[in-house]
Amino acid sequence: MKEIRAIVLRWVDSIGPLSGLGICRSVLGLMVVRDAWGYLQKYADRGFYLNQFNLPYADWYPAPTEALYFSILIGLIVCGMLMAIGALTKPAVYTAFVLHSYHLGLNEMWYRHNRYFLALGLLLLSLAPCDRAFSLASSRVSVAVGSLWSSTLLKIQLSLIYLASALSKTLDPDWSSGRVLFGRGVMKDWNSLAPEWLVTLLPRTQLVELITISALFQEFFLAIFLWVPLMRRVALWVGILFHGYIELRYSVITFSYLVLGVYFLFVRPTLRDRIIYLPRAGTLCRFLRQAIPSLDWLNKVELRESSGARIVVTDFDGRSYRGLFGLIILGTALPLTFFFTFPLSLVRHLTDCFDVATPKGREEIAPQPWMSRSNALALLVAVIGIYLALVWSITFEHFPYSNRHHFHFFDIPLFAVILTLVNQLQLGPKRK
Amino acid sequence: MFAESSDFKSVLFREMENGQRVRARGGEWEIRSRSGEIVRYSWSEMVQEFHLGYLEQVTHAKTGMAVTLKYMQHALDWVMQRIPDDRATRRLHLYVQYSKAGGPWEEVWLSSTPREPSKQ
Repeated sequence: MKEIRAIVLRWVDSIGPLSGLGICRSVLGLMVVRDAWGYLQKYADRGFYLNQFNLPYADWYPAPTEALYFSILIGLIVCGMLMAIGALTKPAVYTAFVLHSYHLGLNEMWYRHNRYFLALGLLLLSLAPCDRAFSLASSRVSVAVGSLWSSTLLKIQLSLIYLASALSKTLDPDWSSGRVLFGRGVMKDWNSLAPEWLVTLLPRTQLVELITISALFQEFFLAIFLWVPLMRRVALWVGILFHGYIELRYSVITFSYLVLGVYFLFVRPTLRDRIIYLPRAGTLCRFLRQAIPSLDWLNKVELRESSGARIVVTDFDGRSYRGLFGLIILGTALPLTFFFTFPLSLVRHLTDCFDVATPKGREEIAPQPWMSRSNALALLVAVIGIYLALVWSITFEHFPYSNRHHFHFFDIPLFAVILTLVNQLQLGPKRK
Repeated sequence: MFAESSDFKSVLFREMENGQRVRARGGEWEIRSRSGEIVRYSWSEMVQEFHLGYLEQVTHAKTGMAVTLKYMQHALDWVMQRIPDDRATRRLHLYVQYSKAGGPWEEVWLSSTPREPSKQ
């Protein structure tokens, strides 16, 4: 009993870097915007929800007036954006949690797993020190460190979702036989993507069973191996592929992004464990000096000056690589390039021909922001303004549904730009 | 990922005072109110969530068929309560055909609670 108590206390007291939590908060903020935007579209198309068939959970649950309902949606969009950039962070998280939970309870037909997951994420964020990193206010802090218990709960929640999903599908004969995925059109995707000889070689029934087994295996795999340090990066890569496909093919509103946001909590809690040695001269080196700090959201990379002629990158395990392969290794530490570079980086496990000696005793280069703080702030405001203007105009212009649906994919680059700019605004004091 | 992959097709019927069931084509019908005005009703304007508004066409069921049928039943009762001028309709019915995960088509009749005699 004492041991269990000690484990619980150790878990509650555990502290670590908060950069992953900060990014997760930003992603959740963007998802608050996306979710509210969907309901704003419904409001624009169909009018006030109480004028149509709706199903409150309970008669005593207070229903809003139309003006209040509209204000709640606008409030959620504002709170989501504040969460994303990390301004007035805690009040924004509390308010978003209250408004989102209230909205979730208004209509039983509005229940979705991803909306519940978002509410739960907001609750845990409101209890976490999520305002100390990856925010406009965090530049004063050298390295943001804080309690991780709520992050652990979020990670456990994600694994439970994977496990529950995989188990229920395995026990469901419709699912395990492949009929569900067949009904969702995976064969059409296969026929359009796979080479013709493969399509003719594999019988459709066996193929759909194979795809089903693969989907179930991936959910079990992700539930377990995100927790295993040796397999974590493989699991993250598989997860990005898995959710990326689902998002591009079916667009499940917020779920894919929420999961990717929680993935940042699984990242190893170390800082600046990769070193890049950059020669003084050269256009590429000058570009990297400015680009790496902007893209290094998790503060994983240290820049050092090199007297040699080639770029050398030292990975977290101490092995060093030069040139293009060094940049591939570096890419595995940067969120925006991880998915593309991680499979290529695995080549190093097959051969040591890329290994080089680690340069010694070189001076550290202070990260140079891509642009001044005021310019970055102005650009961030402009990007958010453009995004909100697009959301607003597309919501209240009566475009066909398919056009709006495709607009969802503009979110991805815009969200990446917003997160990169928020990271840019932290540069300087935080890293010194 | 998706819990279920089911399709359904539903047709709306009005049950008249004499017990006859009249199909409301496209979920729309018109009545003459007490004041003599023509009043038009449209199922798809009153019921829009959860793909329940799509009548007479094969539609993908959100989440699953069990919950879709549950919401259809609630929708029938909700609509019935909001057509007080239509004194000719005693109750509404939905004839639903559905196929779960590409399986055989099944059918079910759903009925609203009948109009209370005092309100006729």
